[in-house]
Amino acid sequence: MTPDLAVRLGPLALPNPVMLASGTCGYGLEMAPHGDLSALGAVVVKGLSLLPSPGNPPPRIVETPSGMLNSIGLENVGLAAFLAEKLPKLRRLGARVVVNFYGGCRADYRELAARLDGAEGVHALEMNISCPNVKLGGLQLGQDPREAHRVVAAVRRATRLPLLVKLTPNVTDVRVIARAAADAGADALTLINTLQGMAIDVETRRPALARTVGGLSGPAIRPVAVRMVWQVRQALPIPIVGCGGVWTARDAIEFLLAGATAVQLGSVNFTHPGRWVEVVAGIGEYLRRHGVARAADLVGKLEPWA
Amino acid sequence: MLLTARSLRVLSSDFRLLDLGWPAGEPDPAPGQFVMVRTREGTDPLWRRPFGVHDFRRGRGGAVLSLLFQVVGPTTRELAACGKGAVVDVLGPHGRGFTLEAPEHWLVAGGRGLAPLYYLARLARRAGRPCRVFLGGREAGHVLRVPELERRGCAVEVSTEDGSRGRRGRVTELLERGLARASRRRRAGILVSACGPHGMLAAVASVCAAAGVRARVSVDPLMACGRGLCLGCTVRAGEGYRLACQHGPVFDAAELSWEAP
Ligand SMILES: Cc1cc2nc3c(=O)[nH]c(=O)nc-3n(C[C@H](O)[C@H](O)[C@H](O)COP(=O)(O)OP(=O)(O)OC[C@H]3O[C@@H](n4cnc5c(N)ncnc54)[C@H](O)[C@@H]3O)c2cc1C
Ligand SMILES: Cc1cc2nc3c(=O)[nH]c(=O)nc-3n(C[C@H](O)[C@H](O)[C@H](O)COP(=O)(O)O)c2cc1C
Ligand code: FES
Repeated sequence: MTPDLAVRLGPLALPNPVMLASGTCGYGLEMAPHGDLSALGAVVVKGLSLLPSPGNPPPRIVETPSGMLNSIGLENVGLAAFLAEKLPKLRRLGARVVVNFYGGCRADYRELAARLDGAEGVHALEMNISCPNVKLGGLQLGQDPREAHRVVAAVRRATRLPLLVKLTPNVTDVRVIARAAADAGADALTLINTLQGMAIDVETRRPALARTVGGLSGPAIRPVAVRMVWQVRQALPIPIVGCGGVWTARDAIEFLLAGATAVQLGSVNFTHPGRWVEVVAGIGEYLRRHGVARAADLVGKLEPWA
Repeated sequence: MLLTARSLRVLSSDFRLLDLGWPAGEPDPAPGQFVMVRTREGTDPLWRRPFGVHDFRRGRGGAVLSLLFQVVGPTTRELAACGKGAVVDVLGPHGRGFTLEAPEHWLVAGGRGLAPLYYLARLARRAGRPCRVFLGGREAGHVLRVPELERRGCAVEVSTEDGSRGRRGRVTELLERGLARASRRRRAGILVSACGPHGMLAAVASVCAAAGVRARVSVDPLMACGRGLCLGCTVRAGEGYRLACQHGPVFDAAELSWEAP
């Protein structure tokens, strides 16, 4: 029996549940040497803003136990350069493209969504209301349910593309924001963006990052991400994309069992850029070994303790 | 790709030289390029570590990549324990390296900064170019590979901060003195290539700018991916930023901003 790996995130159909997370795979093109991009569920490109952004001053990254902190600050080439230079190449490689984007205000989000709506080769949008590393937009929107509802609703009106909303874990109860985004018309939720963290160089007594605080990612955050996926799955019927510290197929399956329909690989791409190929194969192997016909049948199939 | 250790040499108390078999069919790395190395399974450390191509040779027994490293943490400790036959996981070569086109090459190395310069010295000598090497270190044990450089026809000058070998002081003082003695005409043909701590590179940049000599430097920021995916290895250049792993690690010294770290 060959298991069926295809999954659906609302209107977005994917050949398998493995995606590459925004900010960890460049514009997708950088990953082409490691495998056939058309065999990947989808690639989520580096978060775009309307205008190119230079990002934050260095140092911007530091390693932590089984994790890393970053304060890249959403450096990106801007919407126009993405559409003109990156997207046509991605289309030729047969990649399913999810465009991650962020704005400094609601009007920015709306304009980005509207301009991406007509772009050939964009399969879905992922709006980032969760970046801890920029002054405007980002985190505040994702921490206030009323603001989150407003900005998601505005984007929803501006696009017919499948809409994913990426949430921050830096909240007391992630279900509150999840419900606000779902009510405002999100087709799926991506859980989670990075957790706020900090590291200090004790020799220099300086913060390890120029901006002092950054976003924690990697295996260190996986238990938090799995917990949040599970909590939202219990509360809402909306499809969820699990993200946070996936290193192996085993980790991806953990997210599926917790209730994610798909997963994103993030920091692992830095250490193992071709890992997605193994994760897709590993999910297939697991389904075979457990006699499960479809990846979709695994979603949320956590066995409760009696 | 998985590379097999051919030999490991102890150069001094904390420096080692590791020869790794390079797979057939893989292209030759260029001097100044680096590889991303991982020595163990698991997620701690999370990242691979960058190491410059210290030397690269093709011979009858296949191609060999040499790494020269200072033992400072988990990855270099494990590399230092790589006996013959040990397997090391390597990605690369990555980055843009040094250029060889100058009539005369002057190399400035601080401690482990010699790592990427040795291959450059060897290729420069093979191309028949004069090559002068300024080697600096904290102490005698940080001054490496002097006989090998001399055997290849490089003129080597040494300084240490504690005076335990060569002149006491900083390596950039040797460079400054050398440049002051060279005629204006000769200076026009010299290309300085440098690798070492940030402060040393800043001094090389300013000495060379003052003498009107071109300088290229290999920078050393933290790298998570080594190939342009994370945007973490930024260095300041003029008004904006450049990625050390993709646009460098070798840059024209004049292109970078040296005031801030
Ligand atoms: C392009 C490039 C080429 C390099 N080539 C060589 C080489 O050929 N030989 C060599 O010995 N080293 C080289 N380095 C430095 C080497 O990558 C680091 O020393 C590496 O972190 C060692 O790994 P580790 O796990 O043993 O120790 P770690 O635990 O990573 O580091 C030990 C200590 O060194 C500090 N450190 C780590 N990385 C750096 C850095 N990039 N700059 C300043 N301090 C740092 C850490 O903060 C820590 O205190 C290179 C770095 C770059 C960016
Ligand atoms: C260097 C870096 C840059 C990132 N950039 C973005 C971004 O532009 N947009 C976004 O929504 N998330 C961004 N993220 C968050 C990741 O997409 C992901 O949510 C997070 O890293 C958790 O997954 P991981 O533990 O698998 O890395 C970034 C993460 C890292 C490490
Ligand atoms: S190390 Fe990741 S972009 Fe340079």
